Amino acid sequence: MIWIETEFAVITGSVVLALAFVVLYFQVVKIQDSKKARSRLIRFEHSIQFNQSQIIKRKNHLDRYNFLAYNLDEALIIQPEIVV
Amino acid sequence: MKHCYCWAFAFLLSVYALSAQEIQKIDSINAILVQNSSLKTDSLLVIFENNLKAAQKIDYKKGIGEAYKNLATIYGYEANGEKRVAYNLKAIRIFEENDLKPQAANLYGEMGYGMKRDNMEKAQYYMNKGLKMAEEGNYKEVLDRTYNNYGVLKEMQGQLDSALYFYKKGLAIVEERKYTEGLPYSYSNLAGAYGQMGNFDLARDYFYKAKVIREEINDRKGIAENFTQIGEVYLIEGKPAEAVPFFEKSLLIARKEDYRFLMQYTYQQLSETFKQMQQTDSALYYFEKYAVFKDSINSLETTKQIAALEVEFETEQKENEILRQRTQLAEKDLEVRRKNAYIFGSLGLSIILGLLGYLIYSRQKQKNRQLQKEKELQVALAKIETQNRLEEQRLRISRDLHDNIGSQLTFIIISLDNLNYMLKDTGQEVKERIAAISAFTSVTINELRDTVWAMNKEVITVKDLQMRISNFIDQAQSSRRDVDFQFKYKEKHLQKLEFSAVGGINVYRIIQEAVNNALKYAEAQTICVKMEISDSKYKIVILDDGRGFDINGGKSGHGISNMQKRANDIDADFKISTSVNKGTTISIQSKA
Repeated sequence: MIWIETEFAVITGSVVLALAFVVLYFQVVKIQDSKKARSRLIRFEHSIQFNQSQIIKRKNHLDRYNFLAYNLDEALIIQPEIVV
Repeated sequence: MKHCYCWAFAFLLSVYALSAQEIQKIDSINAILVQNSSLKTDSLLVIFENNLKAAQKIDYKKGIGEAYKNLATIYGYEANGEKRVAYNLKAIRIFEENDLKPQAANLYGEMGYGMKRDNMEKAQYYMNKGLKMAEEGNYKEVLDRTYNNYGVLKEMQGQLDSALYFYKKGLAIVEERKYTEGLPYSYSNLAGAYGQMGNFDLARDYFYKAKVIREEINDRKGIAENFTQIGEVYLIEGKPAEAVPFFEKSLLIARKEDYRFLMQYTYQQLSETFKQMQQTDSALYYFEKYAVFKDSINSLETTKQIAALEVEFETEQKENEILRQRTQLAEKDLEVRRKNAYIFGSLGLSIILGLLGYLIYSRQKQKNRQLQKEKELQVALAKIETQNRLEEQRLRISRDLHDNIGSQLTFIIISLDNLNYMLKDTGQEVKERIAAISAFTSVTINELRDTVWAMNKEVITVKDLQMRISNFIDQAQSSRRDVDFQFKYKEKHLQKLEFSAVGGINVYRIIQEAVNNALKYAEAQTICVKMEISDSKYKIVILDDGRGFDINGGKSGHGISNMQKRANDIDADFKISTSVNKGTTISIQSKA
């Protein structure tokens, strides 16, 4: 009788342990995946922001154009780091 | 080492051979038919007791059981009911424990048969038990005897037809088995039944038949029984005088064989016979002889002890049954618990697999979401990179255009100015012409600059345009303090209106041209620029209080045609209203 009760306890314990391990493993994997994805997203966002900053810089220079002074030299500023 | 193995093998072989020999010896002794034996019961008792010990020594269960059975038979012949029952029970116990069913069935039958005179109910019970066991296993060697004995019980209960039925059944099996020793029993039983049915001749025929076979096989006790039975037939037939010799012959043999039970019975029959013959002395004499035997055989104490032994045996049987049932219950309980464990284990595994499946699905979903986001960002990045590159490319082209063509045009202007200076002594017309070309080139270069700028600027907001116009007005004011410049701006739902770069420039140039004209030609004191923005429409009015001019008379200046052209380019209505000394009003308005 005691042996049978122990058997049930062993089965239940094993199942609980297995469940805990599975959950833990997936949690760790999920965190790792999220980190990698986030770093990729951040790289993309940085690239977009950089491009946007270049566009804004170009626009700001263009806005300097004085309709009376015709100062194109100040308005048309090339950004050599952009590879066309 | 090899020698040791050989010796050990030889030793075991010899032990085995000796055991087999011993078993054979025990079986041979047990096979002795007590009723056929010429030995006295005392001698037989000793032989079977020694045989029992030998079987117990080597733990030969069948041998032990058979020995007990034979001892019970002997005690039965000695009319020792207590020991007969005790040994029978021991034998049955051994047979049942060791699954020797034919032996157990046979012994149940014999035990029941032995009780027929004391307790018919019990006798029937045991015989039925033995019969059932023998029929289930189809033990023919047991059935022939048991059917015969069962028939005797029926006969004792007066059920002669049933008795005959069982006797014939038994006889059939005996004949089938060619079991010579069994034939006298069957014939005797049939004879007894026919005798009771009144068929005395047939009865006597069967008894003689039985006696003949018994004489052949030297069954002394059986022969004695037959003599008693033949005498009984004569007695029932009403021929007591003819019965007496047969009873006496039976007594002679029974005494020699120490067959006490038969002696008791035969004395009783003799007493009855002489009673019928009205010889009371002899009747009494034999009755007294019978009484002496009866008391010793059927004492109350013996009956009690037999009953106690039976109770003990039955109790033991029931306890064994209870233990067996408990074991079965425990086994079933264990089976149920194992099944439960299996079910729980399977359930647990299903839960784990289910959770695993859900987690994998969830992870995949998350990955898909992340990939989706990444893809969106990738697309946005690609778009913005493309836009950035395109704009940069355009700007570089514009820059090249400005640098090359712009500088070339500038060179042309400078060259023309130089030429004008070099040709200072030529006629005025040439100078004017050169000046016009120079001015045109200047306008061209400005137009180019505006165009180059507009190529790169997509839209101009209303606010931006307003600011540029305001700046222009301020600059004009600062350069001409004697003129009152006004700029009025009205807006409604500003957000919806945006000018294209070309459109914005054109609007600005129109205002610039109109103001310049008002300053140059109109000699105005007040110049007002009004700008009204509403939804996606605009209206710009430039009015001055200058000299005005006759719009119909004379040719319109390039300034007005330029303004007209610019208004057409931006799909706006251009109106000019002026008259001499009444100022000029120029309006541009987006079309509906």
